[in-house]
Amino acid sequence: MTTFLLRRLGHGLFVLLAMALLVFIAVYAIGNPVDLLVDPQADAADRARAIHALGLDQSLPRQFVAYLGHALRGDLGNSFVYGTPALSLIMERLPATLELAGTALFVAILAGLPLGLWAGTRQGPIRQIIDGLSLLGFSLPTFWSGLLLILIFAVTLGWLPPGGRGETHVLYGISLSIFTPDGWRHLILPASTLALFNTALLVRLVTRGTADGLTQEYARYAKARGLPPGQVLTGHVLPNILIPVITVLGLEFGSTIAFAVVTETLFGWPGMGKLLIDAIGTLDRPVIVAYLLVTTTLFVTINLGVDLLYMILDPRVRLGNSHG
Amino acid sequence: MAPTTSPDPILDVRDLSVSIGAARPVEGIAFSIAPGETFALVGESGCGKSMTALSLMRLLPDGARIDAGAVIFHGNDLLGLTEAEMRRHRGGSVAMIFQEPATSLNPVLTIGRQIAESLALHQSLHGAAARVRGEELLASVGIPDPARRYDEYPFQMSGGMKQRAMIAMALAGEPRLLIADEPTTALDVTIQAQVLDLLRDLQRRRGMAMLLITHDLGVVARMADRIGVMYAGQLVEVADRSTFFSGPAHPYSRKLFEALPESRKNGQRLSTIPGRVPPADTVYRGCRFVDRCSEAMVVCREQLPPWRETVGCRVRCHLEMGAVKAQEAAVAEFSLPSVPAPTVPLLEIENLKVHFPIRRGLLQRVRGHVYAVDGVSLTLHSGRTLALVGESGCGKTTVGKALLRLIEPSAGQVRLAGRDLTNMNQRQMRPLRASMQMVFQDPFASLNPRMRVGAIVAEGMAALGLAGDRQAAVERLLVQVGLAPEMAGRFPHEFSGGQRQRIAIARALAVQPRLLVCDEPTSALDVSVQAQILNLLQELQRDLELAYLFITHNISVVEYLAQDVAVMYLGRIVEQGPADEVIGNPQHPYTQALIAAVPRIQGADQASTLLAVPGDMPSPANPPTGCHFHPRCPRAMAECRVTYPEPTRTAPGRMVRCHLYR
Repeated sequence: MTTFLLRRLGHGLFVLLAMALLVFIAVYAIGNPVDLLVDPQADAADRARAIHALGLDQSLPRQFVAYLGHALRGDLGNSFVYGTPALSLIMERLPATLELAGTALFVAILAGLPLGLWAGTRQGPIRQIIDGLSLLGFSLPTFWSGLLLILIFAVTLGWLPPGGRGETHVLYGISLSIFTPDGWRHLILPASTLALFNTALLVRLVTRGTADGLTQEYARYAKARGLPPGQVLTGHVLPNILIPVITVLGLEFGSTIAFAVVTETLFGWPGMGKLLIDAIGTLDRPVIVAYLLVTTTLFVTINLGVDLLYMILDPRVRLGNSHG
Repeated sequence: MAPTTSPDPILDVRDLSVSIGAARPVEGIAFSIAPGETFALVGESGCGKSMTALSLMRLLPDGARIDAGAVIFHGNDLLGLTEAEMRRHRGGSVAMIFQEPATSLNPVLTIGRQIAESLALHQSLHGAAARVRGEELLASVGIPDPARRYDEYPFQMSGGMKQRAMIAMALAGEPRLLIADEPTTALDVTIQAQVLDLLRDLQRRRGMAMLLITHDLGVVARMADRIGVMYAGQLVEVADRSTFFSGPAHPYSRKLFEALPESRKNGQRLSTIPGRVPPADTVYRGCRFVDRCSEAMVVCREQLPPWRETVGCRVRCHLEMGAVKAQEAAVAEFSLPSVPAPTVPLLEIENLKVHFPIRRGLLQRVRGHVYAVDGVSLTLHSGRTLALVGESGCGKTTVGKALLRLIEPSAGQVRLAGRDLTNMNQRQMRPLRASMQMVFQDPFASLNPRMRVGAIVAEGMAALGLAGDRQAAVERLLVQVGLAPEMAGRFPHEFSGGQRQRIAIARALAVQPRLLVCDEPTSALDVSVQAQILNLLQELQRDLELAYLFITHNISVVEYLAQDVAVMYLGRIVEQGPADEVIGNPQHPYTQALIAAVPRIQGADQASTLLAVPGDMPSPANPPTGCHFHPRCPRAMAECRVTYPEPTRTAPGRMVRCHLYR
């Protein structure tokens, strides 16, 4: 069991290293940062001094090691635009994105899981309608469903604000919207937009899993022992389908964070995604690099979390290793 | 006692009919079971046995409904109850166990939790009280160390142990009637013997009635008090045990017996039932069996046969009772292949080993080996059949795969007609692959569903570059295995299990092999279909001088088909010799146990218990010291715990590895 976790941790570190290398090659080794950083009017001596100061006269592997060393100390360079450390810029915006993505995921689970379980026990038209709606749900582009929500709830009905983060409450130095009513009013629309895809995916996954699980021998046997349908569903089928559901949700949580870009832009939500778009617009390389590395770290952490959940949910993973 | 009614039945099924759309899988079934009695429902797959059991529990699949009839249990009609009332019976006074213990238990819940669920529901036991009772139940079904097993998950248990746990769960509701649907079909014979003994013992102690559904007449002979034979959704015969086994009345019942492979039929063609069970949506005018019956008369097509009753038997047939032809008369003589005098062996296997490394830990270091095959030597001549027998996990399939080099052997030699195969690389092997072909167990999984039959058969010829008119060859092969040439254009899903196995045999024959490795080729088939395939294999052997390495767990098939037999236990051969001698006079205690565990029809007596060896086969990753069999052996001595016995020649051509014969 510990072996399993350690191995997964090793995989995670390897992914991080590989990502660092990719980012290094893509951003540092291609193109010449000197052209960007040094005044075009500077003479050759100035350029040479700048190149030396940036470490660009070293061999590529040495540069990579130096870059890794800096990254490990949390130094991913200063933003060209703001002049402050890129990493702290990202970290300032991270809570807003996590809050948005987390709320979206929570909404998706709250809506998708029961709906999927229910739909899985139905047959015929109800099942088909839910299937069709979920297909629509994950076919709709986020920007479009977001715009639609703004149009209905903000513009036409005027119930909710069209954008911004609203009043925040500072907790341990992190400002969050979920603790104030105004914050919630601002959070609902972007979170729902972001949750739509995940809800649809979850409904589809759980519906299929439930319908399939109910025909399995263990469910038939549970019924043959006289268990009522509700207990068969929640006590026997659900624990089995949670395993694939957790896998998909883990992956989806990662991409929700990554693809929050569109939603954040649309709703003017001050998260990492918006920062990234701005950074791409101004060619602010250190911020882009920091964003990519932070996102990768998040992905790796989420996957470790998923592995931990596996161990809780699936005894074969928890105890399997000792049995070969 | 009239055979179809019990004096004071606990279960009385009257005129039960089930439909799924236009199909009528169960029609007009009536039988009853008394307390403490075992009623067996027999018949081939697709005859409606399981559907009958499920309708008693009102657990029919979606789309199926009960059209008519009554299921009187303990004075109440179960079909008239509300769903909530029915749930109190399910798992309570009427319990059921399923065929596949591996899939019937929830993989992510502990055994204890699943038992406790039943106890809470039917006995209102919770918490510590439920645990105490649960452990008692596990102990009562012979699970050692119940306190520990209670907290284990199904995947931590062996197949036999899981079936015992499922029985414990069924007992949790103190059932008056137990419905057992093929309860031992998925188990090995020694484990089957243990479970059958357990069921009978529990039934006696509790006075429980049992409805046993099985296709295995040996199991019926051992367990049943009365027997109902089902065909195409109807009961065709209901009889007392003794009456049934001294001479079944219905032609279908008789055919089932005649199709069984046995040693006394050795050299004879097995009787088969032509055709197959008609689909459930067939509309009948007369007898349902008429198209497959060798004694069909004009009246059989016109009129539904009436029930006729004699002592100990009710049968639905137009034939006069006693007008039954002698059983043996129907068995055609089969000209036995004149077994050629052994010359140079076609196949020699010497000290073959297949060890799989076990990798563990962070760095995946090799921490041990699974000794799947650990020093096996075999010799096989052209035109002869060598059966390799043993329980699942003993390594018999690995031997077959290793000699074809589908798995790389770790050590040892395989010689085909004198040429050593083990040192060849895969390219040198290729031309020799034509000489050795394999027929797999599951004809549903071993044929590519997207290829036409003709292409499946021809594929091997193309791969090995055989010249000639392939289409003509395919047609000839299909005829040779008893199929029509025009079937080449169809897809595998259009065929029945037996027909698919014929296709698999045609595919193997396409490259003109001299050796066929048959890995349990009939164990997925019904007896009448098994008989067809065994006949086909015999004919082909006679015509083509094929050698068969026949991998099986079915002792009756070995008796019928093989000249030689090798018994395998945990990667090694423990006994070897001529089939009739080894089976007639087994020497190794394991062989003795294996043969004793096979439920027999002849001389079967309910009173006798099967000579069950205790426990399960140990893991080949960690075999016991000394003789591998000693922990289960009734005759183990001090020496057996220390050294593995060397081979002893006990008679010409016979070898046994046991300290008793030094």
